[in-house]
Amino acid sequence: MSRIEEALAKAAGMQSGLHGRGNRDAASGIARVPMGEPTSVGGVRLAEETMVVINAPLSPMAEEYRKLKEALVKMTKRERFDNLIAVTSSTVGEGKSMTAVNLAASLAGEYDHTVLLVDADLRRPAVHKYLGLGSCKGLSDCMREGLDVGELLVKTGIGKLSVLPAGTPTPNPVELFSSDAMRNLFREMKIRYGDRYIIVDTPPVLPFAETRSIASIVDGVILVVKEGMPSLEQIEEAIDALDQKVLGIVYNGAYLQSRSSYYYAE
Amino acid sequence: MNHELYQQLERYARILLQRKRVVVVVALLVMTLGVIISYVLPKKYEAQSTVFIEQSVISELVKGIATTPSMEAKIKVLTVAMLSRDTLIKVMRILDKDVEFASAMEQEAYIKDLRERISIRLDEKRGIFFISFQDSDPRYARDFVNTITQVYIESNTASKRDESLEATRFLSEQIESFKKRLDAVEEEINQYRAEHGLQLATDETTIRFEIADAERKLEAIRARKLELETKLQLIPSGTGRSTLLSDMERQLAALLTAYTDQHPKVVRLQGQIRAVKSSPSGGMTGNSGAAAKTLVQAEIEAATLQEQAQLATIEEKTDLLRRIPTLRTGLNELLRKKENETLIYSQLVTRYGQSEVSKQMEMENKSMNFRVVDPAVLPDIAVSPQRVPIMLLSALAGIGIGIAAIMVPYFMRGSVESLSDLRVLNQRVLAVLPAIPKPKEERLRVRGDRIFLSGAALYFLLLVAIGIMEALNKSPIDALFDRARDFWL
Repeated sequence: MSRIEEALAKAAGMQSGLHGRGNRDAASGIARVPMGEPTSVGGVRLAEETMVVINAPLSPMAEEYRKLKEALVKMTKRERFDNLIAVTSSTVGEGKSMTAVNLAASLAGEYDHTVLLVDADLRRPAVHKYLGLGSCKGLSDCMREGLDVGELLVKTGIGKLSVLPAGTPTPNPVELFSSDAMRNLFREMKIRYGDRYIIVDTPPVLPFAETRSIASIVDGVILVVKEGMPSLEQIEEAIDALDQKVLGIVYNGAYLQSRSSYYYAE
Repeated sequence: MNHELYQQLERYARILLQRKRVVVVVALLVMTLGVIISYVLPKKYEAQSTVFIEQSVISELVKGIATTPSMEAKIKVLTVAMLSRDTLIKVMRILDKDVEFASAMEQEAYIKDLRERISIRLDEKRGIFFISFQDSDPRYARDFVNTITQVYIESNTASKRDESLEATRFLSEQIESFKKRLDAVEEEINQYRAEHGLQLATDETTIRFEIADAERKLEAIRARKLELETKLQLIPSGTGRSTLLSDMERQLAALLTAYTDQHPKVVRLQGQIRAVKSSPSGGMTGNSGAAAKTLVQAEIEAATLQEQAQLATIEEKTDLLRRIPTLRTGLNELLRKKENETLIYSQLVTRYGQSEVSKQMEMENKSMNFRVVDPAVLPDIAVSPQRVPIMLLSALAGIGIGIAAIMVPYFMRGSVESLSDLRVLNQRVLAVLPAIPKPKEERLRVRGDRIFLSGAALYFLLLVAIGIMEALNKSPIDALFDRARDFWL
């Protein structure tokens, strides 16, 4: 049995034990282990091809994510540590979840950073798919049932990256996000995990209202813009809606005509 | 081509390639629609008849002399005549088409439709015209063309008229009128000449010479008369010579006080004194003196008569001299009048000649001969709808609409298409992430594209094959329909 297979089995066993329920669905996908010793990125390979930081850490795309990580670290570690960062986009399908996961993985790949990735897109959660996690309790359950965040965190085995999944599907995510429970929850996470980056994957800004509520709590927002999708007006509208907290733009899906890959290796 | 433009074009090409399925589907749909339309549209057959117009030889002969109607005018007349209700009704009657109409309105509408479907075209160089007619029934089209040609030619031959032209008649009347006026003027001139011919023939210089001559004669007569009068006085009559002389000298002295010595009275008196002084001193006495006196008296009377005659001659000549210019002006006036009338008359006569020839030409043209060179034959190929052009156009339209279906929303959306578009936002660009290739998805997409494009290519080839068959006048769909019809019926 390989090391990953061992980790998978162990993670499944730990999840069952944490919640004390025998009928809980066994986690599918990759390692889901409780908080503990960090696992290195190397050796893990995800089925999702867009997870370039994990699957191809030496690729040009992974290099771009490292640039993003460096920029983010510089912006957030000045006088105080602005660790609560949301990743969003103007419209649907611009690659915010992919960016959030890759960014989180890139951060977690370093020994200096511990990262908590929160899937706040309750309408269409994607983090667990990217990371190959099964459906399990998460953010919505914390807000609705008052469960402890610590108990629901999933250790991914990718560096020091743990994930708070979206949780049980909820019909009214807007109400949840506009509640005090959500504010308290994020405030608690920020204090409780003050030494680690909390990357929050959110729904798009323009079609849904949740992100506007989340933007008012987080320290900064990274806006993902996909080439050929939103118009400038939409992006401007999104920036206005994000309470002036946009740290910068990640330009995604760029068509690069002459890109040298000479220095990169898969 | 600059770099930016190249990038722009490359971007458009990429967008089209990304959404090629939409472009292809739309293009094929429009092409299919074109093919369907080209088959659904009702077929129209065209029959055509070629008619030769036999040109008159006279036309060439009188070119430039007379006005001959142009070919265009001829075809206009021909078209109007052919498309007249009479002709069309006659044709419909011959073809038993008139029985199909329930009302006059229907028939009128049909005639209007016929007029739109009949085409008359002239080939001036070859001297032929073409009559063509379109109808869904090829037989009817052929029969119609042949019948209308026949009906027209027959009616044209029958309509030879011998009426004179209005213009010729007018000119003829005018010529008559001007001839009368011209004759009148000539008569007047002749009469005038008869009346004043002698005077008009007289030379002014001669008259002046005659007047001068008469004046000279008059002067001589007067001098003779004066001399005779003086002589008469000198004949002794009982008074002394000295007394006479002294009286005369007294008179002279009195005259010289009033006149100069050049005055005729003075000159005359001086002459008389000289005559008295030079006369013999003996003087006349007795009966011889009385006889001499009577003789002188008679001479004086004769001189008086001569003087009167000369005065009358002078007066007459002067009067004639005064009247000559007036007489000549009158004659010139009459001659000018005659000249004007002659000019108009000669013009009228020339025009009349031209009019006569033109009239004859028109008569000739009206009775021009037509010969049917090619009678209409049964058309086996429909002229409408023109399937191949429709298919070609639909192919072009399909490609255009397909591209537009992608590009119009793209332009309307105004999406961010490059990093440079973000500059206006004044936001920091943290990273530029290239499109991450997904080999598995890519493989699936390529496979799907291949299947899709193969299917599309096959379908397109089918459409092209239909088009080629149509171009070769071998309509496969028509053959299919015919077979199906034969099978069901």
